[in-house]
Amino acid sequence: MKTIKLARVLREGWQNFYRDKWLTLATVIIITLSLYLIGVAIFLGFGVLHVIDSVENRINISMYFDFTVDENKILEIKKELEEKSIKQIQSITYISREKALEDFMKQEGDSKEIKDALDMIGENPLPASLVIVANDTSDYDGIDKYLHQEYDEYIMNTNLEKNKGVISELQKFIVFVRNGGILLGMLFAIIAILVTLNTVRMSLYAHRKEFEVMRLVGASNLYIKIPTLVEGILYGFASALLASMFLIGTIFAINPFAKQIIENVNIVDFYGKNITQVILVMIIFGITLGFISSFLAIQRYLEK
Amino acid sequence: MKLINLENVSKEYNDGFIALDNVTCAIDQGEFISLVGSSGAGKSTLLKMIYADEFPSEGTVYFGGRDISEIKRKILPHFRRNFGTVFQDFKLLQQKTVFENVAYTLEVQGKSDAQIYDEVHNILKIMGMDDKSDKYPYQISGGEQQRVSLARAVIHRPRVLIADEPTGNLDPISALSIVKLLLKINSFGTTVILATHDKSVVDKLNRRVILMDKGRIVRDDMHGKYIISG
Ligand SMILES: Nc1ncnc2c1ncn2[C@@H]1O[C@H](COP(=O)(O)OP(=O)(O)O)[C@@H](O)[C@H]1O
Ligand SMILES: [Mg+2]
Repeated sequence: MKTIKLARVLREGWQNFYRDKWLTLATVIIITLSLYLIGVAIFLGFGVLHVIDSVENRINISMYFDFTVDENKILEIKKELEEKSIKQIQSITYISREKALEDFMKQEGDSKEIKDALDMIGENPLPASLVIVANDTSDYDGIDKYLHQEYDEYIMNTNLEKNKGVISELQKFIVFVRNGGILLGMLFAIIAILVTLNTVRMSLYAHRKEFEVMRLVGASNLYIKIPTLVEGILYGFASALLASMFLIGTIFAINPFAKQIIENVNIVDFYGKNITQVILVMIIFGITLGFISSFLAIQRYLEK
Repeated sequence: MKLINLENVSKEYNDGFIALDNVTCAIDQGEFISLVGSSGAGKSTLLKMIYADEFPSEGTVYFGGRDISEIKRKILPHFRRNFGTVFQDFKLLQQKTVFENVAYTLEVQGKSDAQIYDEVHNILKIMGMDDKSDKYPYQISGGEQQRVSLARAVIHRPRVLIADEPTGNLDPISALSIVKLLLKINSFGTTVILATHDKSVVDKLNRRVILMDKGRIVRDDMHGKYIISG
């Protein structure tokens, strides 16, 4: 196709988009709603992942050492574990006996009774420990076994037994939320795709007589098709921009309420970090969707 | 061989309806033909066979000695440029101005902007529509829309102009002006095939008349009148 024709079909596509204002408006509104739905799903997903992450990071396994094991040995073990770079382990933190006591006192609010009790004992009753965070909640069992197998002689005890119930419950819940989220997201995406497909199909249907005219005056398939693809891309692009704006608006609008429900939460800050990516994804998704929709819809109006 | 030859052409639509039944006729370059007959007689179907919008179920349509059904799909848009078409409902593109509607025919052929500008204004002058070139179809009358449609149909100098009931939606005065334009176009050498209901138009023309009934040609007079017999 010659350049002059290419310029013309691009202009045709643009004209289809901006001259038929009502049809364009109706089409864009519906696609915008679909994309908005997907955007909300993505944001909810981010939120849930964040919550899961912070809950998961609060789970850990503590490895308490016998009082006879000195600090150097413990640090050696920590180094050893780190150097083995066991893939299930995310982080290891050393808590000295003094730190353990300090934390304990803080937790008890520096109560007088505890202080007196400690004074009576005369020495720090708390053991030193290594606090290990796993990459995945399902890894704790294995880590616990491994620690006992390698370092049993130094270990006073590990606290996995105590936490086992909580961990396995939480693990089930996290898997449930994750799978549910993925399923819901996919459902939203499928709905959005179907709605967009149908909307573009209907807007082309409104122009079906014109495609016939174009064929009659000697327009080739490409000359009819390319403007339609441009039109579809423009629908997708405009809708993605609008949906992004609504999404940002929504975040600002619900921020005060979220603050009331959960303390120390600022969802504007939280989502602000991802907003450019989300908008970018929305635009790419919208354009692709518009393109594919019009590509499929125009097929039936072309010369067979 | 004439410009257009239909040989034993039958058309059965998908639903089994037989719209053309063994039609044979020949049309010469430069003729002005009126195709008449009651509604449903098969006039539009016959015309579609000629400009390759539909294809025969049986028989052959030749254009310039070439079997139309053997034209490759990719070449069809080019083949259709041998024709100009006007219809009862004008079929103008509603989102385009008068100028753009007429220009479209030349744009799809890749003509230059300068050439398009000159030729479109030229033809609009001939059709008496140049002063409305920036209007949209809904802003002008039916008779004016048909003149724009006619301008679009002939701007690329087709060999054949197909007019399917072009006066069907028009008042008698507008109808007459369209027929006059058709005659003018014919006088430049373009073959004109006019399907019509309009008795007064046909009688005045005193040209060849083909009468159809139930998918068949029942009369073919070189200087005919509009007579529906039987
Ligand atoms: N696409 C189609 N499918 C089925 N039947 C059709 C189709 N087009 C036309 N017909 C039928 O063929 C007959 C002839 O139609 P047409 O050629 O339009 O007649 P005319 O133009 O003389 O009024 C009519 O009965 C019409 O209903
Ligand atoms: Mg008809």
